[in-house]
Amino acid sequence: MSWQKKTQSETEVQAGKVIEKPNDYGIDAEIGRLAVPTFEIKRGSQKVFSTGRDVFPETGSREHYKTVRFRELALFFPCDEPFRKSAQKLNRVLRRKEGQQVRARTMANLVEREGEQIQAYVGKKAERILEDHGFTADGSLTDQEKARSSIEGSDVTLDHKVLSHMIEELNRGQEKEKQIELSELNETFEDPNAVKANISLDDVCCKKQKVSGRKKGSLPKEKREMVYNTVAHIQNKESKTYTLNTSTISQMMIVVLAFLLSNGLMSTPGSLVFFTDGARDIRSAIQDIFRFLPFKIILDWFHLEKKCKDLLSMAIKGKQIKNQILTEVLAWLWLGKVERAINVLSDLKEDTIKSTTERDNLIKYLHRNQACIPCYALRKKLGLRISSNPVEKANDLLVSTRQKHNGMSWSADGSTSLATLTSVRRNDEHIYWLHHHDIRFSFPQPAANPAA
Amino acid sequence: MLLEKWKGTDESMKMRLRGTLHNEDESEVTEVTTVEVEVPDFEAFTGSDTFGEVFDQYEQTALEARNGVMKAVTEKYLNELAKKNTVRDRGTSRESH
Repeated sequence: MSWQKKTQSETEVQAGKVIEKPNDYGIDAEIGRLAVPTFEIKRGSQKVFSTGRDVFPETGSREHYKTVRFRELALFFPCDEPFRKSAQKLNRVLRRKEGQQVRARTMANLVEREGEQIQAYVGKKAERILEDHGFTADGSLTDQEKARSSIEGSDVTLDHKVLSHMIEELNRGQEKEKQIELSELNETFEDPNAVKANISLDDVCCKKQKVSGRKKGSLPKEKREMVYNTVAHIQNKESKTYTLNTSTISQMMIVVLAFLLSNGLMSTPGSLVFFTDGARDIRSAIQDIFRFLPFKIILDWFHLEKKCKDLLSMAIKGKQIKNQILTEVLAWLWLGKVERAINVLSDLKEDTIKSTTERDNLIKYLHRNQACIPCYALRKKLGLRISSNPVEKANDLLVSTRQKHNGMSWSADGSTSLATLTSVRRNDEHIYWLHHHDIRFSFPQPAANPAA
Repeated sequence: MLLEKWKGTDESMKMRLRGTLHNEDESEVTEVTTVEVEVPDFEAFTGSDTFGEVFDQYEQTALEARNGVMKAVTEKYLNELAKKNTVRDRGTSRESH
């Protein structure tokens, strides 16, 4: 139906004056684009009834109300494909004719607005949960009495006999100095069947959209600005997973704490284990928020190995010597013997060093992260996680696959909104959100949970 | 589900869709296909805050009914087509192998 300008018509009824409005109420539905006449009843100058307010949800002046089925298609097609392709697909699926077609820009605006609404809702929900459990909105513990019932600080670790047996197996055939001594280990080994949660955290970036194009003759900027998203992958002891995303790490920590509290994960005895890539801001954010109970931060082995490779390449002369030193350093780090690895670096001969600064940087890095470097060999033998790869995969699924391609650039809101919608769909919360504008904030049912 | 609530109550309304295929002289090519579904009554729309949820039930039912009718009518259409020997009608003979 086309949008024809009508003239306002009036009829007198008992309740007042019935006025047919000149503009129809527009509805974008999967059935089609609908136009419904609207009426108002006025008693004197007072509007006592309006179809556009009392029957249909209020919309902007030229805005169409979008039904749940329509929003499901319009919001989640762009999670997999560019907006232009999504618009083409949507128009093809709905067989929209010229003049009624959904534009790519409309879809982008829709995604941005819905993503912002979800982010705001999750933020408010997190605040409510925190307040209910004796925390302030910024995650500080204020009411010890309230918190006591929802927080259990005790740890559940693996039996000493199991550890001793595994260490014995690992030490078999090893030189004395490369053997692991249980008494020398400063860490605990969590029982995988009794963990509170395994939480992997990481930042992911994509190119930032320029505010305006480059002016003729102006110099290009030295460094491209980036848009950051923080992603968290939460796994409980039953291996159920939930993915969260926010635009900053501080917001993320509040949301993670609220999620743990609302799902009763903090009230069970067991370890709370964080897996990170060693970023300082992530570590300090964890320490700030979770200082009220014991937790463990594990530095991802892949990132540790990569850092050593990168810095040693800049620090050491010659490929062969570098590889030899790298092997030695990594062998000590794999056993969790950080001091021994640092000694190897400190005792390097002057003639093998290309840059003492880079060598010192690596030493500083190891010192800084010493508390987060466990005995990877023993953890692996015990079947415990040593990697933050679930969040790396989540980064790919939420952001990289869709947002990191040649020629793509994003506004901060656009990028976070799109990632939010993708995460909501991954958590199987999307249909519930579309119907109720609510997020359950709980692990999805196993059948609906895609492999991660 | 909201639809369950309306089923068999005074708050439900029925939508009947009929699909036929007929020639220009109005003679029927296939028998009539009828699909009847329950949709929310007007009373179910209690205000603008519930419009989205109730209309979604309507839309879902309507889309399923539309697809159901079209599927049934098209199957009947193809069934009739399969019965016709269109090749012989055009006066060409089939090759025997």
